[in-house]
Amino acid sequence: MTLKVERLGHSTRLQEVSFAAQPGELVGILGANGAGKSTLLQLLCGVLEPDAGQLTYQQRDLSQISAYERRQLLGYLPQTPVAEGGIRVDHFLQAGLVNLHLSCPGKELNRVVETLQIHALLERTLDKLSGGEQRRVHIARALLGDHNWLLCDEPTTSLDLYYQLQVMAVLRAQADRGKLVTLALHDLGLAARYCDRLVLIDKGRLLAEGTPAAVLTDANLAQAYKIKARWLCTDEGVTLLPSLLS
Amino acid sequence: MLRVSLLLAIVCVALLGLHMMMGSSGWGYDYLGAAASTILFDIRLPRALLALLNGIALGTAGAVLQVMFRNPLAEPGITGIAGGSALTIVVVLYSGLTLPLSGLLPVVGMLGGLLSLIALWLIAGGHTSGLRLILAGVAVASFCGALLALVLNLAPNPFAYLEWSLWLLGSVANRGWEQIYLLVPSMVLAFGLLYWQRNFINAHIFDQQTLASLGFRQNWSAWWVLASVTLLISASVVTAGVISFVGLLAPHLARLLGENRPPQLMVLSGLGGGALLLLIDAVVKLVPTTVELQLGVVAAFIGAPWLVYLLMRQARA
Repeated sequence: MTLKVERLGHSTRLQEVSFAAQPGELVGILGANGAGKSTLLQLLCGVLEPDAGQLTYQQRDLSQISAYERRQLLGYLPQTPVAEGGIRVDHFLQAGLVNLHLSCPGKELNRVVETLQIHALLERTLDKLSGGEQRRVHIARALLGDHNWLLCDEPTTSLDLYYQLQVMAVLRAQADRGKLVTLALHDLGLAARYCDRLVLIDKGRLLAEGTPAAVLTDANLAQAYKIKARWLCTDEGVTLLPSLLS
Repeated sequence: MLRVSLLLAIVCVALLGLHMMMGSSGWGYDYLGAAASTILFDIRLPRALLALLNGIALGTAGAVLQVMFRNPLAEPGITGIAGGSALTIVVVLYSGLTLPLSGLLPVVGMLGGLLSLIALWLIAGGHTSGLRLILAGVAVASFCGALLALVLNLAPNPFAYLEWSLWLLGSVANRGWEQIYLLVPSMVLAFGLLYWQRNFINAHIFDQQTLASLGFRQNWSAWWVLASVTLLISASVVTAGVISFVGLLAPHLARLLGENRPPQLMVLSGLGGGALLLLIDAVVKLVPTTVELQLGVVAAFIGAPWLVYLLMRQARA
């Protein structure tokens, strides 16, 4: 396994969470508001330091590597990134190349701009963009460096349906290229449709881990979200239709 | 940005020339006669250069503080750094531990500035954005001000009291090359350190969590950046006293020129600060008063309404 999370804990927000993942997997981290999804992602990417447990990535203890080495390993999209408002998008993305030391930074910028289809936004300043447009720019920033491990905290927040599907397709494509993608999600339909593996957290503890079918059971959904859900099978794949518990 | 920087640099040089043409007896050089060389190069040039360099130091320091604290109201005076710096300099000189033109003074001032910075950080509880930092800064600056007043109050010599009081109001009058020699090495060192940390400063356009994932040794880098800023401020305090508001006004003038990227903002703010202080000192020279006005007084007359405007704009936002 490339990523091994063992009995990870951080104060009272996260306790004894363990799971594993490998390259080429799209791992969805699910849970209700306040369950500990963002805390888990912050621990994985090194923004927070764990109080307990161990994180191993490619046989290396993540607590033993420097911030600079970590930068070369992974790309991270926080839940609510707020950038300096008057900055132009192209300048913002250029600044996102820091500490990557790429041989062709211009080519890398073009790649992410192409991937997220944000050509039209490049010369506008961030404060003049809508919430969804800003989100796409931040996702593009996180993709810079073509890291082997990508961590995204609720990447589809603020996006309309078209861009939600586009972003999920982009992340799926990253996984299909052999990269490990770890993302926190609220949309169970998207999670069921795009993710290979799900990690369901409830009140800071691991409730279930495995394939979407194994995790998104009636009992788990009732406990974690207080909802029930009906599976729908279409030509496009499977998805989930949630409703409140009666 | 390069074009605007060049333009501002030309404005600074032009203002420097104009400033040198102004004297207590009138404009120009012709009437100076045989003493022209002495007056121009030993009196007017050091004064004009000191105004320019202090403006550059304070403008750059203000821009870096605003970027690092993500707060458009941060500046050397309001954050209490200038007050802490002035306090340690006065205490050290008062106690006779060092001479007025000692090369150690900027370092001593830097230590005082850093102590103020640490106090500011502790009082603000690590929150560097919004009004909390400003309120903490006001507390630190007021405390330093009170301690300074106490030191001056206990001064046995009334002339020393007057001299210190005037120095604290900020001035570049009656200065010579000694002050320039004191200021320049500190500025060169501070700008070198800021250039070294330029990527870290630039990364402050990102939020704290993104910044934490970009591979910087954050505490280490932040320490060097803030040490450089306090060195700039203390060198300015040593050579020209406490000049308020230039560090606040200059970054906003740079933003009005359409620049928000931190490294570019620092350059424009530095040049803008230089031009601003030359202009302010020109006003000081031009206003016909029996006792020459202090720089800090005129700067505060312009800066205080600007601060009120910024606070009101922030409250509306």
